Amino acid sequence: MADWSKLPNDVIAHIANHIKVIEDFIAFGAVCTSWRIAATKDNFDVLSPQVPLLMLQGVHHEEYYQNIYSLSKKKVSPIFLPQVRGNRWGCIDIAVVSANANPFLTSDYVLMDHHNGADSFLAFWRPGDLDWTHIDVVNHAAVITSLVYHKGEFYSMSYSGKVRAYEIAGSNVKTRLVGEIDEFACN
Amino acid sequence: MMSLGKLITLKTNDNEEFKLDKTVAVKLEIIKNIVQDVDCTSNVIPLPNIDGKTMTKVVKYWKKHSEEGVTEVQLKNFDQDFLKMSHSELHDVHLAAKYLDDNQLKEVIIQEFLDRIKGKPIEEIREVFGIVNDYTPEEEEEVRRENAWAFE
Repeated sequence: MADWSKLPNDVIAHIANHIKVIEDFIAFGAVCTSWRIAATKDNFDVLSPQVPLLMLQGVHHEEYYQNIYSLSKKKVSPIFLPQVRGNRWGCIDIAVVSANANPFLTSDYVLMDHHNGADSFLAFWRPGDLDWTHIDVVNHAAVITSLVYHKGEFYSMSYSGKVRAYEIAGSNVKTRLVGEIDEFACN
Repeated sequence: MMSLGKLITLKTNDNEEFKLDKTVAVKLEIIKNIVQDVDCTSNVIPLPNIDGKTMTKVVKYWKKHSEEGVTEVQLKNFDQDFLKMSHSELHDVHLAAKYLDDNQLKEVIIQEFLDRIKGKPIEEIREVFGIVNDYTPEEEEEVRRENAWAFE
């Protein structure tokens, strides 16, 4: 009897390996338990390009859930992600840590967020955290203009040209000044 | 040794025989190994895991893909046509390709299988492929809750 669910584990894993779209990969694992066992995150190529999810602002179930919109499924669903407290003015920027991570397959990542406005701050959140942890940047006397992640550290650049690195280890954040660009030299 | 004669006979588990040109057959590792290692008095290689219906398809694929002067476009069209088979036939050909260690055919089948499940809701995948849902309702609920955004 031909039964695709009774294939040997290595064959199912091999098949799962070929799936490029994360939604298909998740659906694959939900079909039956033998496919679930084989479709582990190690079988997914996290570097394959995906259709992004859009985070919707303003409509919240409660402060711990945010609505995201899936372009591929044309559907809004809530995900657990606490709201960043503070002044909601200004821009929000989120960078995902771990170049080799997909937040929907692993919990090994950190989100970093920066708020500019009356109270400027950086904050990070990791899966399992009930709330965002603030990093005080006011003391750095600078408003952040951009934030990137590179090889284990976040880097921020301020309007005054200061580049800082942040390394998050446990609940501690180690920060150092990487360099400074003369603001007048840029003009 | 099986060096005599240019034809090799493959015999399926339902006693169907396929005569293949040796140059076609030895392209496959498993056939090559049998030809080299087994001291056969006849040129018949038994295939205990494959039935005649499945082997007919496999041989058709091999023959087309080893045709001389065949163009890429022709092969592409052939593959498209070749893959128009039922899910259970696809499954059997996959197992045969696996048994025969034919990676090219195996990949073609896997790609077709993935194309058939792509973007489909879970219930439809189960129904179409006759897969029994062996999740408990609680487990299934958990799977769906974890990644609610990815489901219909």
